[in-house]
Amino acid sequence: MEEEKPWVLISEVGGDHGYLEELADIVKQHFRIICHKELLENPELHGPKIQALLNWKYCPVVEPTLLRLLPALKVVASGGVGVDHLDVPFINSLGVKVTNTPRVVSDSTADLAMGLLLASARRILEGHQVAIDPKTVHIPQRLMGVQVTNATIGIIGMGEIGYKIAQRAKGFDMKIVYHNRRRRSAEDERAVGATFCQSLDELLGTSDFVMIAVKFTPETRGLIGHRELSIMKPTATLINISRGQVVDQDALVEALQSGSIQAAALDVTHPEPLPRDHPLLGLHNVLITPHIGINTFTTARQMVEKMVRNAVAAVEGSPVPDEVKLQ
Amino acid sequence: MSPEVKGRLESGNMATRLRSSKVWEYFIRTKEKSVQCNICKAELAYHGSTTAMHEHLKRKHVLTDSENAEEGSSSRCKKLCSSSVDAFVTRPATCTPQQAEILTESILKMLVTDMRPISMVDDQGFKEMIKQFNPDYHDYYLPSRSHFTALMEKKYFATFEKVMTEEKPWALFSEVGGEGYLKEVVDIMNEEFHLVSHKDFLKNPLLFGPKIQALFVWNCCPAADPLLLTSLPSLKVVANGGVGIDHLDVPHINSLGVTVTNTPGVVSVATADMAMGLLLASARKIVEGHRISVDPKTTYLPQSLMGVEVSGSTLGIIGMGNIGYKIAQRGKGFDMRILYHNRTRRCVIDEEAVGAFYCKNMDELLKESDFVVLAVNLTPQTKHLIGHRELSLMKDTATLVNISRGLVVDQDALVMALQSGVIQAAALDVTHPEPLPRDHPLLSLPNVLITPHAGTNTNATIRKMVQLMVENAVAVIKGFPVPNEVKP
Repeated sequence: MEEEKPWVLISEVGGDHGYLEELADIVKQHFRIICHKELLENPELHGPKIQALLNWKYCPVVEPTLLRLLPALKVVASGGVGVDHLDVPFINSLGVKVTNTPRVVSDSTADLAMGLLLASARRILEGHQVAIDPKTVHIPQRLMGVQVTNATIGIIGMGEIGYKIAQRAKGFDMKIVYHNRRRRSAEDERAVGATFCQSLDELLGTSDFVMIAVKFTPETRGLIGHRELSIMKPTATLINISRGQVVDQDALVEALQSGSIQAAALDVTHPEPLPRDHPLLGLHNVLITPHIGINTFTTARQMVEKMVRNAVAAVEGSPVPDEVKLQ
Repeated sequence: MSPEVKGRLESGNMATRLRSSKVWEYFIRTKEKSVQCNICKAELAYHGSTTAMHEHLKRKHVLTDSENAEEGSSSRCKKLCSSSVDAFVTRPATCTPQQAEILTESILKMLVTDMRPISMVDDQGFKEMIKQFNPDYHDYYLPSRSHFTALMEKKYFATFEKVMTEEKPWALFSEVGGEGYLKEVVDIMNEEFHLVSHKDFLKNPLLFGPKIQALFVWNCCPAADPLLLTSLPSLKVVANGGVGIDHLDVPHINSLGVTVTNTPGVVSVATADMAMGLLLASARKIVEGHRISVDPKTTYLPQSLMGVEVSGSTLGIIGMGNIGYKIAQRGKGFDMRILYHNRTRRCVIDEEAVGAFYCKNMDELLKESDFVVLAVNLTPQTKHLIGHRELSLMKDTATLVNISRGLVVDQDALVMALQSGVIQAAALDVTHPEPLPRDHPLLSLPNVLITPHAGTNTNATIRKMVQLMVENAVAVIKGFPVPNEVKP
C-alpha cells in the first residue's frame, strides 16, 4: 500500500540533472519520493521521514549539513561502483550504511573503454568531422590511424571492469598485459591471454594503449604523472575510465603537447566538466566524453534496481547485498 | 623588338651580366637568331659568347633592329666588332658549377625515385625536369645534358648504372601523395618495378606505353578504362590495392589477356576493427559526447546522453567472408549474440568458434538484430540489398553499420528510415558517391555517423596491401602461381 512505503530522498526527476522518468518509476515501486528541493523547502516536515538516500551521479551531495536533516536515515545507496565521493567512515559513524552497485556497471563501462580506444585509434571523431564538413570535396588519403589488432594493451587495475576490458581486447587479438595489486589466477590469465606485469613501468614501456581501470583511492591519486607519461611510448594512447584524479592532468597536457605520448581518450576528468578554458579541450589528439561509462538504458535501469534493492534491505533490517565495508 | 626591351637596351648603361641577360631574354622570347649592332652593323648571334656581348655593350653600342640603325662608327669599332663576331663560339649558355652541383643532386634523386633513366628523356623533357626543381631558372641557366651527364658520371655512376641496367619490369601507377600513395609505400613498389606515374605517362604515352606490363590501381585510380588499356599493349596484369573490384570490368580486362588481382585477407583486421569502432561510437554516442564535453557552453554533465547497450546485444552480420568473420570474433568478446547471413553457410567449427547462428533467411536476421553490419562484396546481386523493405523489418531500436560499399544500401530509403524512426541510427564508412554531395540529407541527421572510407587506413595495413599488390603483379609477369587472381 502506498501509505506504508518508506520515504526516500533523491535529487530530482527529469530536468538536466535528474532521473529519467522510467528510472524514477522503479523507485516508486518501493518508496515514496522526496526530491532534494522539496526537502530544503520544508526540512522539519520531510527530514525525519526519510530512511533512505539514493545518490545518483553524485547528487544529492552527501554533506554533513544534509545528513543532519535526516535523523531517521538508515542507508545511502549510491549508483555506480565508485564511492570516492562519499565520506564512508563519517556516514557509518552516524549509524548509516553505504551501498554501491558493483557488477552491473562493468559491461557497459568496459564497452565504453573499448569504444574510446577504437574511436581514438581510428580517428573516428575526426573522420566524421571531415565527412560532414561543407568544404570537403575529396576523401582524405592521409587520415591514417593506429592498428588496434595485434597491438599491446596495458590494463592498470584488473578488477571486474579491467578483466572485462581484457575479454573484449582478446577479440581483437591484442596482446594483453596488466598490472594489479594482486595477481589474478592462472586460469583467469589464460582465459584472456593476459600477462602480469609486476612493475607498472614495464607495462607503461611496452603498451600501445594504456587503459586505466583502477579504483580511486589515496594510493591511486596521481598514479599517472610526468614520470609515467615519459616512460610510455611516444606512439601510445592513454585511456581513462576510472576517475580524473588518477591522472595528473597538467602532466597529461604537457605530455600531449610535447608528443611524449600520442593521444588520450578520457571519460573522466577533474573536475567534471572541465573549465571551458582548460587546455585539454583544445588539443586535437584528445577525445573526451562526459562520464557516460554507464549511460545505457539497460545499465541505468539495472543500477537503479540494485540501489532500490539495497535501500529496501537496509530499511527493513535484512542483510544488505552491496554494503560498502572499508577495511 | 618590343619597346620595353628596346628601351632597356637604349638606356646605354654599362654592360652588366643583367643587361646581357635581358638581350638573352629577347632572343628566347622572339626566337630571333641574331641582332645587329646599330653602330657597326655587326651581327651578334644567339649562340654567341656572353663575353662578346659584354664587350659590345661596354662600348655603348646599342642593339636595335636594323631599321633604326644609326650611320657611322669608328673604324676601330668595326674592327673590334668583326673580330668579336669571329670570336663567337657556338656554345649554349651553361650554369655555374655550383648551380650544376645542386641541380645534379636534385635530378638524381628524382630519377632514382621515379626510376626514369635519363636516356629516355628528350631535350625538352630534360629542361622540364630541371624547371620542376627551380621554376626561376631560365633556359640560359640550364646545364646541357652532356654537361650534366658528365657531372653525374663523375659522382654517381655506380647508382646510375644500377638504375640503368636493372632488369625490372615497368608499371603504371596513379601518383605519389595527393590522392595516391603515401611516399613511404612507394619504396615497396620501387623494389620490383620501374614506376611511371599517370601524369608522366600521359605526357608521353607512345614512349612508356609499350613498356608497361603492370597497372597498379589504388582508390580506383588510374581508371582502367578501354582507352587506357588500348595504350598498354604489353599489359599483363591489373593489380588492385584493396579487396573490392566493383570498379573494374573484369570480364573485359580478361578478354584482353590481362589478369586482375586484388588484396583480400590483409584488409580484414583493420576493416573489422573499423566496423566495431563505428558500432561502439554510434551505440555509446561518443562523437556527441565529445562535442558536448568540449562545447564552450557546457556547464554540467548531461544526464540524458543515453546510449544503447552493446554487451549482450544481438549482432547480425550480412556477409560472413574474411571481414565478416573477424567482426564476429570481435563481437564475441562483447558477449554479443551473433547471427549471420551468407550465400554459403560456414562450417560448424567456424560457427562454434565465434558462437554464430546461421540465418538462411536474411529477414530473420533483420528482425532480431540490434546491430546489422554489412560486410558483403558489391555485385549486381548485392546492389541495394538493403532497401525500404529490409529497413522496415529491422527493429526500431536497431543500428545499421555499413563497411562494404555505399551502393549496397538504397540511400534514399535509409534517409527516410532514419528520419521517420524506422531504425534508430546508422554508422557508415562507405557512401555513394564518396564523398556525398554537401547538401545530402545524411550529413545533417543527428543519428548518423559517417567516416571517409577509412576502413583500411592504418600504416600497417596500407603497407601490407601494397606488398601484396606488388607480389601479385610480379607473380603474373614472371609466370608464377598468382596469390589473388580475381576470377569472373
